Amino acid sequence: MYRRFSLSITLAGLVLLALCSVSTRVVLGAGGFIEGTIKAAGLASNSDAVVYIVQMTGTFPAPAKPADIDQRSMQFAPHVLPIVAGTTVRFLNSDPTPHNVFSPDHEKYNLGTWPQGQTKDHVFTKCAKAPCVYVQLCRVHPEMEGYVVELQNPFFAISGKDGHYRIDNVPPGSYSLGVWHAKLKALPKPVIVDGAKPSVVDFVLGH
Amino acid sequence: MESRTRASACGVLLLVGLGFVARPATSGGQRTTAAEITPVEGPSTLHHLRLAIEGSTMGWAGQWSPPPSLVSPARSRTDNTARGSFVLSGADLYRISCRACHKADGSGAPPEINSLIGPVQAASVPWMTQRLKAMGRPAGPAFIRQLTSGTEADLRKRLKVGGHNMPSFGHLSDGEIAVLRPYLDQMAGVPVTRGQPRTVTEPSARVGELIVKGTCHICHDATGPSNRPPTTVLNDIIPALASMPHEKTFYQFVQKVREGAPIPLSASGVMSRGRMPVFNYLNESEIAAAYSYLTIYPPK
Repeated sequence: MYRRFSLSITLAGLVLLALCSVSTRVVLGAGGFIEGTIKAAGLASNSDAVVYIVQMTGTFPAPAKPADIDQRSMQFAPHVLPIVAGTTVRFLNSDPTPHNVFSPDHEKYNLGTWPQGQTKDHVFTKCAKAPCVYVQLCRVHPEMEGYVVELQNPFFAISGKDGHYRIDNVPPGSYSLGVWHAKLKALPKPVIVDGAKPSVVDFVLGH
Repeated sequence: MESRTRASACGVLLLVGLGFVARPATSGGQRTTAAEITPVEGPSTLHHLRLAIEGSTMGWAGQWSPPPSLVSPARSRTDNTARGSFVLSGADLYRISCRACHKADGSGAPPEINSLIGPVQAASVPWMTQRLKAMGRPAGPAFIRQLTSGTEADLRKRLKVGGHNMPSFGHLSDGEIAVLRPYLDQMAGVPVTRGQPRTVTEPSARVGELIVKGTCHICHDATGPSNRPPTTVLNDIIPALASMPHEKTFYQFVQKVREGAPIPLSASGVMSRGRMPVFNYLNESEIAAAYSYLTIYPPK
């Protein structure tokens, strides 16, 4: 009796799991994904390249939740932060020493200096033509450097150490795929997303 | 032995006499700085931060005392160690106030002690202008000045009120900071602002005060246990500043600070070099001034 009951529970669980799996596939099926590999020529790491769809029709609201940059161990973490226009970036100081954030790019800003545990917000709304790259500097510690890359739409990804990137849920269409790196560059590439199969685009970055 | 004791006593009397001559206001002696000389007070920086001397690089001058076998007994000096006043340059002020933590080149000991080179560079208009230009991000003079003036204000605030671990150096006068500041620029390799004073003339007791507050007080409490070897060293106790003029002759004090002096660990004559580094970058006249200051202005 107990064994039969237990078997029923297991079967019900499997059915539920299968349903969930189908449901997820249906949602993902609304768009395709773009993936590929970045090769940063001459650099030890292939990470921190931003791959993005240059222009997409429509308007894209900024996320309600701020994106975070942590000033920790005398570094900006993440080192590169891609955002969609209008996003608020929250800068946290996790170091016991005061930090500052400023950028000499575009409209230029200087957020002042604040101590450990405190944050300052900055809203990125003034980018005239995306992508807008803002170097993040600390005037107290000149060795610190990070980047905020402001983009027109939220279809972007950042490469990992192995160079792999993946942009999910991309609406079907033909696009220009751009790539940004702090030290290297490459020309944009065309990409077609049809939702049926992955679109693979690799980049080799150079000087 | 008798002559040594007499020599020590004479040394102390000479120093105390000079110290009183240099004492401001009440002595009627010549003063060239506006700073009021006050006794060193309260717990050491290490004590305040609850740090053990072995776990911190604060106050580490960079060199241990030599092995006991290489240290000769303290002796009377015949050189001109005691002075009425000193002419201090920015390098001298850095040496007696900052070097014990930030090292001779300002690099500090990250992550515990920050380098001061970066912040000093970032306070320089020419340096910041050149840096942003080299990054391919040139900025106008107004934006540069906004950045550098903020950094300068931060630097001066840090000096006055201290930081996370850094103690306050609020005892430094504006005149002393005016002489010290261009030296920091020189160390950081940025153009030095012209028109700043290059030296400041200080009474002996003031020099002693700067050394004691800027160097000795990092590890030594103002008051507390006196030196009772071997109990002190075996129990990780750092003797208080107040006890020093009573326990050491002037010559012993100078030797301990500049060259190191062995500490007896047992009645059978086992000696230790102790935990105190040697501060051989302080000259005998300066250490004499510190001894004099501790005598005239008893720590509180």
